[in-house]
Amino acid sequence: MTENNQPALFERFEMDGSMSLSVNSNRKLKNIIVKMFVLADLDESYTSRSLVPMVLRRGTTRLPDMQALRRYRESLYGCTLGSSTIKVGEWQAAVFSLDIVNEAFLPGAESLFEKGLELLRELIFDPLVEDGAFSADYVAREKDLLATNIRSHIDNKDEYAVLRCTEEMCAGEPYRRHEMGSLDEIDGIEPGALMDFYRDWSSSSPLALYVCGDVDPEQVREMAAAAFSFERSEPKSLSALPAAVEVGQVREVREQFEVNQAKLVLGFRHGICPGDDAYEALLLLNTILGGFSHSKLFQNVREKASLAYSARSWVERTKGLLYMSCGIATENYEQALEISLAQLDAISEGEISDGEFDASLKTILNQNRMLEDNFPGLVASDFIWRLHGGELDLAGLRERLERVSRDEIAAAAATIRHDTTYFLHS
Amino acid sequence: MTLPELEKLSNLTLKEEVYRATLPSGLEVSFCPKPGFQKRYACYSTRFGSIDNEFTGSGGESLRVPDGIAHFLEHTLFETPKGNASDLFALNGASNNASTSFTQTTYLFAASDRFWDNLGLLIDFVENPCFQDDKVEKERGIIEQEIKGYDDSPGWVNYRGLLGNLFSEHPVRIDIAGTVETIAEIDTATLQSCYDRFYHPSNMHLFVVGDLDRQELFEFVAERSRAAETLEGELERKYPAEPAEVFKAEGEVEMDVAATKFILGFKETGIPLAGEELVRRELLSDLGLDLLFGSSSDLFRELYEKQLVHDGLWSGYDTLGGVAYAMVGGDTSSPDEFPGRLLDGIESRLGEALSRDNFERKKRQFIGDFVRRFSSLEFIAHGFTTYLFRDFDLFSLIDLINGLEREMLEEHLHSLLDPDRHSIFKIIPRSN
Repeated sequence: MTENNQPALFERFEMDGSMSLSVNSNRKLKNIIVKMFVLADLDESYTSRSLVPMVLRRGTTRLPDMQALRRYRESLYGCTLGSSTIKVGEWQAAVFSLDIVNEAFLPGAESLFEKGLELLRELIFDPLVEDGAFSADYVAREKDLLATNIRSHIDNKDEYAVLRCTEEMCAGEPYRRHEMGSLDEIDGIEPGALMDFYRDWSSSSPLALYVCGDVDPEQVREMAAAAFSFERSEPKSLSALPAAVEVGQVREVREQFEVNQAKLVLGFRHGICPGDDAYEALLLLNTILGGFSHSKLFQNVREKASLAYSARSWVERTKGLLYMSCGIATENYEQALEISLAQLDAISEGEISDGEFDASLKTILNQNRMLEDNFPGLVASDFIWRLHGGELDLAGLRERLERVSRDEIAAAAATIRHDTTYFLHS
Repeated sequence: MTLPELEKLSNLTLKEEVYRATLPSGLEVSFCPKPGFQKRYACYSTRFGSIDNEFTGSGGESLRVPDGIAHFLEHTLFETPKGNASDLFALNGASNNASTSFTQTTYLFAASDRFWDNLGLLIDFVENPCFQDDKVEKERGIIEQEIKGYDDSPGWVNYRGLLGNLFSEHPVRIDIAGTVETIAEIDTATLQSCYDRFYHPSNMHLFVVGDLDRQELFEFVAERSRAAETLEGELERKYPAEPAEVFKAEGEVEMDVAATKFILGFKETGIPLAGEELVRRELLSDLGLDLLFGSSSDLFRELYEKQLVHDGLWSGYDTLGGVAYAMVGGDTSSPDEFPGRLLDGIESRLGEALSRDNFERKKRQFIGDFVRRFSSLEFIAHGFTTYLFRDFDLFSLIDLINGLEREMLEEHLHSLLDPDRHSIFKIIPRSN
């Protein structure tokens, strides 16, 4: 039970080998969702760290190629197996996931979850090894693919514009690094060195395992202990949360492409994290500013000025950033910029109507409650809260949200500093 | 009030139930109870999509409306005398959205509380249009930007390019949102005539899923939902005759992409509009395409080892308005060699792809995928609605999958992947 007498969302177990296990047992899911986070700093090795999960998905000792892996997954009723890399503030995590049907809904199926968990272990810790290194062929192909994926950022102009804004805003800070790595680093990565890197990373990074489904937590603990019980070194300690960065004059960056629609992205710094006093005010501020269709950006950029189809804002809560973006006609740059900035100014001056305040609070409370049914969302959110030294407590968050005043929202808005204006235009 | 009798559908494997009734107005209402869930989800859908641009109007007259009008109507319906419907949902804390496809328009919301206020709002704004000239004008500017955003999306341009290549007459070749030129022709009168015909209750379905009392739900909807006037004549959709041959065999566009994107497509005509036969055809197509091109196939393995394909191949099959198309796509750095190898591979690898082992394993995967999806309220609501619009009940899909036979699949794939009915569309990196 938490302080507000709600059952905790996750049952926690500390396992051998610096692994934490969090289990959400529920009757809602027909599948079992498993996620393993392998955590590290977003340091110079970020490209190798992003390449490793790609090479791992190519084959294990027992299932040495993609065809064998896929055929085995099909025989387990099409369980999905994923590996990806995410950036959380100035940390980088490999995320390995398994989604498998709960055998209670499949007459005749046996030990599915056990087999699935074992498959996940193989994927992460039992890769195909050739002459003491990763398969040279796999590494070469995945390097190519990683290079293509990085070059393909440009295919999606919305995402590309945000990525470029971040690179400019955080130039000189680790956060400038993209979780997928850098093109310049890929060439130099060799299969042997990558294997050395992998061995160090997989044996010394803190692990967080999550399981959600209609399961018995104690049984899951036993199965996880059996699957993941092996010698690991002392976990490396992670760097502290990024320090605040002073904002000087607003950086303005413009880039030209052959596009039908220009993209305007504004980057801001707030430095407010989960657990901070102003955190709930920040969430409400973003809801009023641009989180939804009732928000100021959508209302003023889209509905009143008819400048854009989408106009929104969102919060990065570990590095402490806020973004606004809209897709507009190139000639409307000045007008869109002015209207967007005016919305944040208005909030910092306390211009929040009853309707805006009321709708935003109700919307965010509704989202909070519905998160209880969204298990990948619960896991991702809890993972971030744990990195900030707390844990996800939806009921507690709701209570704190309901206590936030308009003055506190205005005060939070007043601390937000405009750092960078990025414009991708024709 | 006397309620129409509820029909109960159930599936013992999934341990799920759905209740269904047709109201006197002709509106079909379905409900799937989900005890314990915080989220309650409702979607109100009409069988009206972008391909319905020629039809008999509510007075029996023949109408041809501008391309993109179903999507435009979706946008304008949100304007109500009490304000924008999205704002009204926000005042209740609900999140809402709407979407238009080739064949369907859907309005939806998700809420954890104030469910009845939100359901009332959904019913009210969908059933009481208020088309005004100034709102239509404002929406035109927003939709123009929406269309321009799609025009910069390589995946979308590739897909649209392929459909324009495959089909010469059928409205599937037209963009769902229309073009800047066609939406310029839309006004309140054309919107109203589409509304009168396609938003008649007998053409619509309301699906609700969540932790609710079923009696209360059906009473609420029967009370709140409008009575309907009888329309003259049956709604008749007219689709132009589409030749069996593809319109163009090849096409390409230059864009800012890192690697060439391609889609290989196959065309089918003379497809049924609804019924079990249609659903079986879709299942067989999905299963067959996955067996041939998925990452467990020998063809994929060969293409991957020869470095002709970067990562995975994706595939899909869609049926609508009497036509259908199958697609397989991916990224390649050998755009000249690749399509030929893919076509040869279909011919040479089809037999082994459909081996008994492969077939049975793939069926097992499809059953697992189907069961897993029932964790999602959105899947239940949209899946049921889409199949109801095809006169099929989603629960029966599991029996249909179990009943598939290898011989059926073999025959179907030979006819679907006819080399004489293929087209290729590519997005190639800009040369500058």
